[in-house]
Amino acid sequence: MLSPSLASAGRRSSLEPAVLVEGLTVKYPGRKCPALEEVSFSIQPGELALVLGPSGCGKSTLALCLNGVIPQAIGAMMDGQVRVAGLDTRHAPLNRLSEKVGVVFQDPESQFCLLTVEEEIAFGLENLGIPPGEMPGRIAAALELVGLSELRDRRIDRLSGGQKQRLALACVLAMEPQVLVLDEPTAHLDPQAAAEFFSAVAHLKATGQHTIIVIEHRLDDLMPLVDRVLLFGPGGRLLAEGPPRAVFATYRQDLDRSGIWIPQVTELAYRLAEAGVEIDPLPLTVEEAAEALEPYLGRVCLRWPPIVDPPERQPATEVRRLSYRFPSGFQALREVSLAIPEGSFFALVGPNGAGKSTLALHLVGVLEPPPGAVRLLGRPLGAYTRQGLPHLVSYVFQNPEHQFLTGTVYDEVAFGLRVQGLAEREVEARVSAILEEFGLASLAPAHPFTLSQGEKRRLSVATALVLRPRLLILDEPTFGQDRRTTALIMGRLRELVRGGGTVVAITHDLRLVAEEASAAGVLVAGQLAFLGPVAALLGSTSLLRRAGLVPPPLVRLGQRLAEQRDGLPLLSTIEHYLAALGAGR
Amino acid sequence: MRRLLQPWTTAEILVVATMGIAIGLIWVPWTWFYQATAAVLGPWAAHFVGGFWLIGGVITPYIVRKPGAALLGELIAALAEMPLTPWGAIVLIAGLIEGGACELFFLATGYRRFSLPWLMGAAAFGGLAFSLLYLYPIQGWGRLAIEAQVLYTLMRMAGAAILAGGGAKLIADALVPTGVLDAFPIARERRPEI
Amino acid sequence: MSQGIYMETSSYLHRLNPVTKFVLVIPTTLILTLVVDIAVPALFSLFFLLALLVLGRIPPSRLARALLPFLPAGIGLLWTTAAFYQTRMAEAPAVALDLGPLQLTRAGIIYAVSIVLRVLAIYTSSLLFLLTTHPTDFILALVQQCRLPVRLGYGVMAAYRFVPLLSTELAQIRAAHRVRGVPEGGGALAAPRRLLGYAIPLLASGIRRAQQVAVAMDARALGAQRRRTFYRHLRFSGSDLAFLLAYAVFAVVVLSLLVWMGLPARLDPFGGPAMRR
Repeated sequence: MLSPSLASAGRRSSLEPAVLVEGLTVKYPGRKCPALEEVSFSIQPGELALVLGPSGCGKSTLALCLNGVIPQAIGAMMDGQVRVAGLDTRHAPLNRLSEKVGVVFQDPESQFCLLTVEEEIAFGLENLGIPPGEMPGRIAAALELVGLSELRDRRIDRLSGGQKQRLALACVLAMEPQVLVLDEPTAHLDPQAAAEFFSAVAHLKATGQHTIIVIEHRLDDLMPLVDRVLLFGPGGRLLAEGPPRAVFATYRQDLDRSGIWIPQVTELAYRLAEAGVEIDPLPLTVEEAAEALEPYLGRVCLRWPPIVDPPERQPATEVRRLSYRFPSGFQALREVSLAIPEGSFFALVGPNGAGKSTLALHLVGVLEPPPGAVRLLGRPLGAYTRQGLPHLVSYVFQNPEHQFLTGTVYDEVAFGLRVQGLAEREVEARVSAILEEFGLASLAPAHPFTLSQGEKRRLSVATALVLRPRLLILDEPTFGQDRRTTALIMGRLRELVRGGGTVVAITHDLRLVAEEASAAGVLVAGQLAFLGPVAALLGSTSLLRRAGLVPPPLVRLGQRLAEQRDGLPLLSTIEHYLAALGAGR
Repeated sequence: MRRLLQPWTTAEILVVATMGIAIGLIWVPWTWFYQATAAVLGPWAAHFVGGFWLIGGVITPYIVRKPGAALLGELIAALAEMPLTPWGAIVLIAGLIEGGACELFFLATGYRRFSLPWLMGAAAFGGLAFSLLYLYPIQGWGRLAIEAQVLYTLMRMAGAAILAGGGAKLIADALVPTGVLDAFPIARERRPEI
Repeated sequence: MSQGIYMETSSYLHRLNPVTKFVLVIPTTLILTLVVDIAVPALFSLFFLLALLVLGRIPPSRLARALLPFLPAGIGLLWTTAAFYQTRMAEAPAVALDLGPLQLTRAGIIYAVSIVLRVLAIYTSSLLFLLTTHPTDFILALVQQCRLPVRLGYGVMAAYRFVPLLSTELAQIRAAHRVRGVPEGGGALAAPRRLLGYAIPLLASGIRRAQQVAVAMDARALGAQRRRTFYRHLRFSGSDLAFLLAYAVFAVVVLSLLVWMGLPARLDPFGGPAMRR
C-alpha cells in the first residue's frame, strides 16, 4: 500500500477530515466472511475519491456505513469507527447524519416513493422537519444544480433512467449534505445519460462545497475529477489508497486479476508498454493520451488497417419491410429491411425505445412477423415449429434473471439440452464442460438468483452457448459486467462466429462495437438510419449523436490523432493502435 | 420473543407492502375466475375458489413472523385490489375481517407455529370469520337454505386452507432459495451460514 | 403508476379531503346492512351517482364504464341468492318463476334484488371515492389526518410505484420463457406451474427492489425525526363539512321515511324474521 502519509502529503491540514474511517469491519448475519475487514482511510473536505474493487468486495456496504444506515437501520455487526463531518455514525441520530451525508444508489427504479419530481425532493426535507416555507427554494436550487429545472412538476415514471438518477442526486442535494456518496450511479444508464450525470457531478465538484465519494466502474468521463483512489481487494480489504496515477501505475496486476475496469487510455498505455512503447507519465484521460502519443505520430504505419472484404455468405437472418405496431398503438418499427450474413458479428444500436429489442424479438419469433417478412437460414420463420426454433436461435436478455427457469445453476444450463431430448450422459458432459469454462463449476448447485451480477450474466450466456446456436442474440451483453467477464464472453462469441455462427448484439457500448462487430445497424424511431461497416459508423459523429451514442475514448483519441496527422485512418481499438504505432517491430 | 416486540423496519414494511400489492393484483383476474366458476359449476365451487382471498393474511406472517403482518398483508392486498374490482370498497371490509381473523389465529399461537397445518388452520379460520362477519350481514346468507349455508361455509374454509394456506407455503418456500428473503425469519430458519 | 379508475380533472369532489370521501363508505355499509329493502339502497346509489355527475364532473359515459364490471358480478349474486333462498315460514311459497328443477319464489327474487342493490349501493359509495381520489393522496391523507404511521404510509406508496414495473417485467419474463422453449399447453397442472414460473422471478425481483427502496428511504431520514413537516398539506375545509352534512341530512331523511313506512319489519341484520309482503 502507498503509505497514506506519502499519498496525501502536503494536503493534510489542521482541518478534521470530511470522512474518517478507522478499523472498520462489517459482518452480515448469516454470513461467515465479513463484508469489510479492517478498513481505514480518511478523505479531506472538497476531495473526490473514487472507490474501485471487484464485485462483492463490500463497496456498497461501505456506502451504507458512511451514512449510518449500517449499523442503525440495517442489522449488521460493525466494529471500528466511522466519523463523517465530525459525527460518529454509530451514535449520531440518522436525521442529523442525513443532513451531512447523502447517498445516490445504482438502480433508478428503486430510489423513489412519491409521484412527482417536486414531491420526491420534498420527501427528504419533510423527514428533516424543514419548515414548508423553506422547501420551494431548496427544491429549485437542487434541481438547478443537476439541470432538471424544467421537470419540476413531471411525474417520476415519465423520466428517463438518466433523469431519474439526476433526480436522486437532487433529492440528496436538497438536504444540503457536506458529503455525497454515489454508489455506482451510472450502472444502469446508457453512455449519453452517464455523461450527463458526470457533468452534473463535475459541476458540483467545481462549487467546492462537497466531499464526494464515487463507487464506479465507468471511469473514462470521471477521471479528470478524481483526486484519490481507494482500491479494494477481494474480501473487503483496502488494498491501496493514493492519487489515481500512482495507483494505476503500481497496482496493474491486482486491477487485472480482479477484472476491475480502468480508463481505456490507461489500458492502451499498458498494452503499448508491453509492446515496447513506454508512455510516461501514465495517461488517464484522452487529452493526456493525445499529448503523450504526439511524439510517436511521426512513425505511424499509414498502410494500416488492411481492408479485407468478407467472403459472400448466405444471410443467417433476413428482414424485409418489417413494420410493427404495439397493441397500445405505438409504432415500434417502420419498414425495416436488413440481412445479416452467416458467420458475422452484427451490432444493433440506437437510442432507448428506438425498437432494437422489438426487432430482435421478431428475428426469433417471440413477436410473430407477418408471413415472409423474416427469414432464418434461408427459410421463412413461419416454416419452423415452435419446438424447432430453440435448436437454432438463442436470446440472452438484458436482465439475466428473467430467463432463469430452474432452481440450480446446473439445471439452468441443462434445461435447453434436455428440451432437445439429448441423453443425460451427453447433457452432463456438455454442461460440466461449459460450467468449468465459465468459472461456474463450484456454483453448480446454487440457485441462479443468488449469484452476483457478473455470474448471472455468465450463466445466461452459458445457457445459450451450450446449445451451439446458429444465431445468437444478446441484449446489452456488457451491461454492468467487470472486465474479466466481458473478456471471457467476448472470447466465446468470437469463437462462435469463427465456427460459422452469427451474433447480433443490441448495445450502447461502442467499445464492444468497435472491437468485435464487422457491421452495424442504427435504429432511430423504428427506422433503419444506417446499415453498413462499423468504421463508417464510428467515423460519423452526427450519426452517432442521432443514435444517442458517445464515441468511446479510443475513438475520440483516434479523431484527435487523425487531425494531427494527415492520412491516418481512424484508430478505434487497442489492436489498431498497436498496429499503427508499430509497436513490437 | 424480544424480536416480536421490536418496531417494524422500513424494509419489513416495504416487503410486506410489495407482497400485498402483488397479491392484490392477482386477485383482480381471480374475481372473474370466481364469477366464472359460480356460473359454470355453481356457488358451492365458487366459495372454494373464494378461499384464495385469504392468502394475503397467511403468506406475509409466514415470511415476516411479526405481529400485524397478517392484517397488514391482507389489507394492503385489498387496497391494491379495490380500484380494479367490481366490489369497490367492500373488499376493504372483507380484508379487514379476513386479515384480522388470521392475525388473531397467529396471535393465539404466539407467532411461533408456521408449519403447513397451522398455515392452513389460519386460512380456514379466516374463511370462517369471513362467512360469519361478511357473507351473513352483507350478502344476507341468513335467508338461504340451511344446507346451502353449511355447505358454503365449509367450502369457503376448505378453499382457504388449500388455496390460501397451501398456496402461501408453496410460493414462500419457492422464494426462499432465491435468497431475496435472507433477511427474514423464514429464510434464517433453514439456510445455513454461507 | 397505476391509478386504478381515478379520473384526473378538477371538481368539488376532487378537492375534498380523501378521508371525507372514504369515510362515507362506513355509515353507508352499516345502514344498508341493517336494512333489507329495495328503495333504500336504490336511493343511496342514486345519491352517490348524482353527486359524481354533478359535483364530481364525471361524464356519464365514464361513470357507465365504471359501473360496467358490476353487471356480471351483480347478476351472479342475484341468481345464486334467488336460487338458494328459502323461506322459513310455514306457508307454501308462491312460485314466481318455474325453471324445471329450480323454482324461484317471489320472495326469493325480491330478497335477491334487495341484496344486489345493497352491494351496488356500497359499490357506488366507493366509486365516489375511487373516481375522484388519487391513490397517493388517499395515503397522504391517512398519514396526515388519521395518524397512519409515516413509515407505513410512505412504505405502501413506494411499493405502489412498482405496479407498472411488475407488468413490464411480466411481459419480459414471458418472452424469455418462450425463447428458451418452455413447453406451452399440456395437462391440467401445466398452467398453474407455468404461472408459478412467472410469479417467483417476478416476486423475487419485487422483494429485492423493495429492500433497496427501503434502504434509500432510510438514507433520506424517513421516520428519523419525530416532528415531520409536510410540503403539501391536505386539510379539512368548509367544503368537507358541507358534504358530510349533506350526506347526514340525506341519510336521516331516508331513514325517517323508512320508519314512517314501518321500520321494524325491515330491520334484518342476519336474515332474521322474514319480510311480510
